[in-house]
Amino acid sequence: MQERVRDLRRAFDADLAAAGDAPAVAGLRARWLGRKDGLLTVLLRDLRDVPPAERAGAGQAVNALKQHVEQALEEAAAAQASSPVTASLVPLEMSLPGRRLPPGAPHPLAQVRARIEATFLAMGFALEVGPEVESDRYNFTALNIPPHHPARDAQDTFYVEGGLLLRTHTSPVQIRTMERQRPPIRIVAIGKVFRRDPFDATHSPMFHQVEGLVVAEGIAFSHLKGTLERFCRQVLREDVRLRLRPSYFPFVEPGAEYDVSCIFCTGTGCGRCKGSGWIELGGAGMVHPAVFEQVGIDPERYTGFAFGLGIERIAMLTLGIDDIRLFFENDLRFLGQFPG
Amino acid sequence: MKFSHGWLRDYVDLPDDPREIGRRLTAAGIPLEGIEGDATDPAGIVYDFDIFGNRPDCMNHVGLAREIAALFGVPLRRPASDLKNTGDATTQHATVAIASPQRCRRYAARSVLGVRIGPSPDWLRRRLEQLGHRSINNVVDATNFVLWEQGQPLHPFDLDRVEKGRIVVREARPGESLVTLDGVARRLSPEILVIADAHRPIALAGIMGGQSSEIRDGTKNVLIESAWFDPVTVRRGAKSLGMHTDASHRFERGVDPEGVLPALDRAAALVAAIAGGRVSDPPIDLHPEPEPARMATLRPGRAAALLGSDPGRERMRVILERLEFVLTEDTGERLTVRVPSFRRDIEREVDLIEEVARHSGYDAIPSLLPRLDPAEAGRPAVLARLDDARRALLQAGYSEAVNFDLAEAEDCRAFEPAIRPVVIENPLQSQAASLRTTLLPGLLRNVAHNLNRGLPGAQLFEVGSVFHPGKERPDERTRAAAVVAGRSPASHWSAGRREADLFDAKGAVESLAAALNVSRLRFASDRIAAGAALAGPAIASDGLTRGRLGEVAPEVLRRFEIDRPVYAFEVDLDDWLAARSAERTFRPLPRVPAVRRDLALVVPDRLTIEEMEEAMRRASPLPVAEMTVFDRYRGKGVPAGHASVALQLVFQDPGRTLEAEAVQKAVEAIVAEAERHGARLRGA
Repeated sequence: MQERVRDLRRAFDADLAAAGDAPAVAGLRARWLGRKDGLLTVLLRDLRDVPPAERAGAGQAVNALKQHVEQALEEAAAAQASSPVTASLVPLEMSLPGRRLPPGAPHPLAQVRARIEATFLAMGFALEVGPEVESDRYNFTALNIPPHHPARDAQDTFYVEGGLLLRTHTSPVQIRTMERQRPPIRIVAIGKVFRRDPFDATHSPMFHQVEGLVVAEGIAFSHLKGTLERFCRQVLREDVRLRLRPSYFPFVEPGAEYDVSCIFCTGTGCGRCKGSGWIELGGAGMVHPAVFEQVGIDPERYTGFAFGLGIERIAMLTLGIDDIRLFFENDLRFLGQFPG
Repeated sequence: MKFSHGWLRDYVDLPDDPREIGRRLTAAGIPLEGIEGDATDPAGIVYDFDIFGNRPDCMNHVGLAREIAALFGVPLRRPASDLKNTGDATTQHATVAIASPQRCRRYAARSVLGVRIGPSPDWLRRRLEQLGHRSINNVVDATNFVLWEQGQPLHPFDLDRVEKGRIVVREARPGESLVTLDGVARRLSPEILVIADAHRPIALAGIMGGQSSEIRDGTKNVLIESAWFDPVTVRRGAKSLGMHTDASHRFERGVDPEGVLPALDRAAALVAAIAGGRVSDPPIDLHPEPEPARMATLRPGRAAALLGSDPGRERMRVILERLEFVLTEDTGERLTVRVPSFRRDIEREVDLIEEVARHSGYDAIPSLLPRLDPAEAGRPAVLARLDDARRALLQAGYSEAVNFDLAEAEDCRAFEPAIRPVVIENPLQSQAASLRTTLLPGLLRNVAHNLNRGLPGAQLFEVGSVFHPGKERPDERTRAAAVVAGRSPASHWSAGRREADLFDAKGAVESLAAALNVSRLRFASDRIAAGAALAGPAIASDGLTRGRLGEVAPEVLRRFEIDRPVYAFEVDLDDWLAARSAERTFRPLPRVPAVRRDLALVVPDRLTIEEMEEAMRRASPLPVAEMTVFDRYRGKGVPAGHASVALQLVFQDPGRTLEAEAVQKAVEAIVAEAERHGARLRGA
């Protein structure tokens, strides 16, 4: 009897292994546990014929087998009920894609902006925001650009009904911050700016700028250099060199433009830097005393620096994008390349 | 601006390597933009320098040579003009009156009688042509030469065609007009300063001469004008006429009032030398209010502090003196200088500090990080909330779009018929002549762009500003909007392809609201406006309408040339952003399991699931933790005008185990309430 139980167990295990789908498992149940002629039912019936001395041992063996069969069949059925998909895949096809909701792609400008923000926040800057529709005072006059100043030519302006304009730079946030807050001030403002430029590969009537402003006692030009250098190294490349050149913006004096050593050729000269080895990034300088006077900050006591840069420019450099229009077409094939 | 190596060499000794000049000037704030020619023919080298608007004094060869001389510490050779005293006073041939002394601070003139107009000598022609200027005739070329040499715009008149030889500098009178040298007839207005003769305007002061008195082949007698016109006057005049000339460019930025006479002398001598004729002497020189000497003081200590590096007092003094500042006082702590008349940009100490920094080199200044206490507020909370909003929509499968704030009014009106878009007065094109009042037109354009490129679907959102008319300034509001069209990205091979529908868009609103912890979000389908561009329910929270969800109307889609249904939502985020982020605190987990019961109800269409749920919750004697619709079916076996809705109810009392009997009673009460609203148990 014991031997027969062993054989049957082996036969059942083989049967179960061969049962690939739910109907096969159901068939097994009928074959083994069927009420009339299930193999186990028959075995139990035959137990009656075992001599009484062996009956207890045989009974134990048969019961163990029965438990094994019932449990195994139940597990098999449960496994198949919970995975109707895999049940229909014979053989198991795991090269098909899994089930997921693909997330959308954050805009590359948002990603670059977040990186720039994080860099300045880590340097202790606070973030500021300001309106996109501005008055002439905030956009120009308070920044030492009076009416009819030729510097206005460089920033061809969209005028908005009611004597207002679309800000041509984020610098108005400097004025708004200094009007509201006394030094020490250490802010960056990031946002949209507008210039009446035709839309082509290198110009856009709307783009994004970052503006930085630090005002405190004892702030020097050397601090401007140090801050920009740290920023460029964090956002562009750890090994870039920074160069400041004298330049002219009415709201800073001394004024500067800043370049970094070309990140493509590392400064030896290539097509991207037009052979110069340098890539122009933005404008900067020490806050002009006339600007301090506009907002009632004593220029003898306090000094400060300000700088600006374009987010599109940084994004184009770091992502290798050669046409600014791509940022505003919102082509999913473009956005999908920067899944964030 | 272009500069000739050979020409510069007339005034200053130059290094052999032209790139060295470019490098040094770039480092001193005069960036080299380009260079033509090579060292095999140094005289032929042409530099292109970018001269910033604050340095009109460098917009000529002598001026740039002066900067080079200061930079390299070499002497400057000024051009000389040897005029023989003819004793033939200019006043015998012409008279000058300045009727507007505020706008014309100085006016000088000399006549050259008996000239013979002809081509310029080769050397002069070559100089002008090397810089890309056309040679016209000897007299005109001579005055242009002096412009490029000294930066003083000059104008030669045919003296015989200046009525009565009378020059009046005055404002134009209403109705006057003038044909300028370029052949254009221009209507003048009083904001334009003109040079008139006895009868009529003959030139636009500081901008361009007139055709009637221009130098022509038969001209015998010439009157050369050299003047100082007010920058703002010239700029306004030129702008109002839509003109920009080499002369106006310089006058707008400020020419040297002390350069007026030397330039006049130089030009007159040159005309006489190459076109013959007799130069009048003395000149006319009306200078009603000479500019007082401009003084500025530099504190070397202050310069060192501002720069963060100290070039030394002696070096500062040398730099200023090389740049022709005249030291009038040196107390050790203060250097007081007289500002050269050509430096229109120098007004105060900080301007002198920049001169010192420019000429000692920005590279010499070290790089340091400022030591400051940490900023008080790192990032406004509202920005973090905006990021939460963006992240929620990204996770919902929407990609982020950035569109222009400039839009077409009609597009905006389709979605916001009640709002008049704020007008841009000088748009680049009519499709961008307003500030957007809604984000949807931009997103629909993006949908069209993507579908036109063969993509099977598009799911995009934008978070950005819209502008509504306000009291003093437009009201800038932050909105979020999303669009979904075509194949749903949630499709999976196991379930077959699925086209996006309104519930995809609704899910995005729900994700957004959940991320911003918006309470009592409702979709009020009873407020669907007839003929709305976005047909669907209003989105409300706290009882206030915040936006709209719906399907974009077919006529709007046609406008954007989209041939597939588009589902969208737009909400005003300002109130949601202003709310504080949820303070999340721990609640103890229930110690006893929840009890779940499934119900199948046949629900009439007039009863919304939301209404039914609310009624059922109210009616339940036991706390209902969740109520979830897991199936909805219409069709065979369900009466017309009804749907079969399968709900799972989850009862949970944190304090006690719910007994089967109590749960049964609760279910009965809930069903009874549903029935009171017109639903009934399925199969009952």
